Amino acid sequence: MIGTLITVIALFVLDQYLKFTRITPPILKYYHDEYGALNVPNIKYLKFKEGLFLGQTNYDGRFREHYPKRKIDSSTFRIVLVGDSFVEGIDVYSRHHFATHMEDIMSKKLGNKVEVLNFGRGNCTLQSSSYYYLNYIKKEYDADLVLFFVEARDLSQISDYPSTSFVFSDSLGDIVASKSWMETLDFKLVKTLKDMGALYYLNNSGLFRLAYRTKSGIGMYGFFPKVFGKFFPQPAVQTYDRFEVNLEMSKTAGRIFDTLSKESGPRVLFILRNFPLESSVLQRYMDSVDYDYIDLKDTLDYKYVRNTTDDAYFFKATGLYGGHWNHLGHKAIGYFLSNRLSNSISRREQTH
Amino acid sequence: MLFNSIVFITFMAIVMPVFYLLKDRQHKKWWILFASYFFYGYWDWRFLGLLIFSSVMDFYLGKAIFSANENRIKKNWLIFSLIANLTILGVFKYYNFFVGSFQEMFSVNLDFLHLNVILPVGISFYTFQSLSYTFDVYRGRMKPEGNLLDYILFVAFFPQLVAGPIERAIDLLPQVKMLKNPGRSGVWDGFLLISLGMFKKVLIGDTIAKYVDHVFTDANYYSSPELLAALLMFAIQIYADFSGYSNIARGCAKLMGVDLVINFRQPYLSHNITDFWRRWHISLSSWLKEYLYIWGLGGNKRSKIRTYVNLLLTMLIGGFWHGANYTFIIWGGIHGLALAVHKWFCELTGNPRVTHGHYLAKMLGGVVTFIVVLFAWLFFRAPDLTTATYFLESFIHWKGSDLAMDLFFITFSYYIVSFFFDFVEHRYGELFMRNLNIVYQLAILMPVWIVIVMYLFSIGKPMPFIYFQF
Repeated sequence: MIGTLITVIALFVLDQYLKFTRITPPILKYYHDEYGALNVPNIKYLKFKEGLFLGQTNYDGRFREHYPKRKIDSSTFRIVLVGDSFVEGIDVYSRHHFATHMEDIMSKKLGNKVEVLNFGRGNCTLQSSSYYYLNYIKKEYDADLVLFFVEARDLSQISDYPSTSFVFSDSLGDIVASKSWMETLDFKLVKTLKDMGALYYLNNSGLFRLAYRTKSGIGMYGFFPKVFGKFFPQPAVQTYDRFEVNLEMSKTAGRIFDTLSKESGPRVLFILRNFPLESSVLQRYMDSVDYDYIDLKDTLDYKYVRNTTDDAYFFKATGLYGGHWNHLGHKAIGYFLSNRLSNSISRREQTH
Repeated sequence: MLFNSIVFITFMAIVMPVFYLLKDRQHKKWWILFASYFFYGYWDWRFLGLLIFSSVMDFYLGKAIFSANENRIKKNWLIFSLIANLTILGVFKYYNFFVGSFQEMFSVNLDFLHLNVILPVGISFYTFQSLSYTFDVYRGRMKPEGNLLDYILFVAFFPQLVAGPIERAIDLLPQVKMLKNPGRSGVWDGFLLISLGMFKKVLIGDTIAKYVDHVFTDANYYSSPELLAALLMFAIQIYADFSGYSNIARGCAKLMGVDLVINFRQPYLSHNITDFWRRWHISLSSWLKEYLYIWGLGGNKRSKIRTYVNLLLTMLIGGFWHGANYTFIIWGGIHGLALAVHKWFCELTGNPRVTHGHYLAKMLGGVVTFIVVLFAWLFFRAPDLTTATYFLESFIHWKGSDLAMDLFFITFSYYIVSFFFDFVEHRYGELFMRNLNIVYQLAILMPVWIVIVMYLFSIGKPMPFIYFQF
């Protein structure tokens, strides 16, 4: 009996230690009934992976800023960013994020306040981010310009991100919403825990968060490779060597691009990224249908900032490529987009 | 192989049961020698040859020193041992540094002279350990070891092979010769030490390292409070990392009936810098004191100025031992200067006792000592002088950060836990554990081990020990 009590006390102390030292940061995602996995609002978050991030989500689960849904000042120029973990950018502090660089530079160039709202979400693909944009962001938020970040992997027909996504229905000949995430074991488990009233306590438990990460760690690094080390085949480490892939435009992606471009509302501009997979399929498609886009190839020559030897993805501190922009990458993207967009916006204003 | 890894747990799970089952002492020694070479070779088998060569060389040099009839010949053999060991160390550790420094100083291109070598893990430690053997044989403190197996096992003994404690032959050799099953209390003590060390290394040192590494690598992206937090956290990281390693080393040795020296005694509670060096990395500081400061340089037997110079020189060499970088030399220099200043101050105030004084004076001394040590840690950790300078400039031209409160909270949490563990380990740990029923001890340790193992499975590569790079 006393032994059990001592164990419980020890577990409680360890739980609190893990929480206070942020060894196990909070679980970032929760399941929204309509949209699936979204960022939890108003939580402090610490991330160590290839980079370092320390910050807090706002009222709507976004990092970096607390702008309200509606513009306070109508003269403010508001840009909305939609994309995946590249856009979310929680491998650097918010003040180093390319959105911050854009705000600083564009405010000076355009002579009025520029707000950049970041709706990037890790692991999100075009199918899920576009659904979220069309059904939530576009309706709830003021925006003057929307930057949709896309890359070759977005052409994949299936999105495995647990978020409501568009899929192409051959029978209807159009994209429809799919909530297949509701059939996953993860969601069912979370729902059961929530219905039991246990989810809140578990999410706030350092030990539960550690268990969650242990499960991910075993999935990523393997169990036997850890136990037997070099005497067991180790999981392959992705190398970011340049190679061109041949991909085909998927019906889903094509229909999504079409919808995003032609819907009334703020102007949508596609931002093409060519890392980790290089493919000219997106650029050729955009050219063929005459959609507005900016190709990041103009500033990033695969891994490197163009005309330099600065690697935009490598994190020196960890020696890792996670496939996300480092400080130099964010700076390059921020400066590049600021200049392109400022020039484009100024030209449009002059034309009008 | 790293102590803080699942594969090390697997290693111990195989090595120790076999050790306990073997009845013959010789068989035990051969088994531990094999395990030690396996442990070392797991990192890089190519350097096993160097370790074996170095061990065998000093074994025969010890015999040669002892059997020499004349003092002159003894001395020659000693000098040969010193040159041979330091040459091996120098080639792998310092050669490229000197070539690079010469290049910079005289603006000449000597790239063709650079050697493409990896620093063998633990070379600084086992070199000093081997040297202590030949020194002690020369000084007549011990007879040379007659059994080659015993000697090479003394050098290669895996618990302390790659990051100390630096053991003296006079202490460790007799124990290694008598390798035995330690009995239940020895096994339990060993397990407790390993548990404590793993907690400190994995759940304090490794977790705090993630923040520290990022900030020190890309310092120019961080503001003043963030840099200060990183420096404060490094002070905890290096202590948890190194003392945790030493705990694990002592624990593993205890499982084989061997007692290694205690390497740390609450160093951050030191009242002055001299006290600090009696509590921090005790095996290295005592090695430097005995062989370099006293025996080599004459200690405090000569003039006052010479004493201060000797202190400074000893610490400069101590700094250089850590790594081939000017930052380590500066680190050593700061400590040498602080020691000299403290010695002068004690003489000025007529206060020769290191820890004597009113408790307020001790507290003030403790704060000043911690600040000096922290300042020196900046140079120890910074990858180069530019980074160290950037830190100092940021502290002088202070710019705030909206993350300051968060970082303060995290730093404070780590300090509280570290000081708590330190206090418990050194003041009440033994008393507590001896009086607590073994079932209750297990009730505490099992959750700790579960968390440690879970954490190790959740990460990619385990963090290497800071002192592995030396």
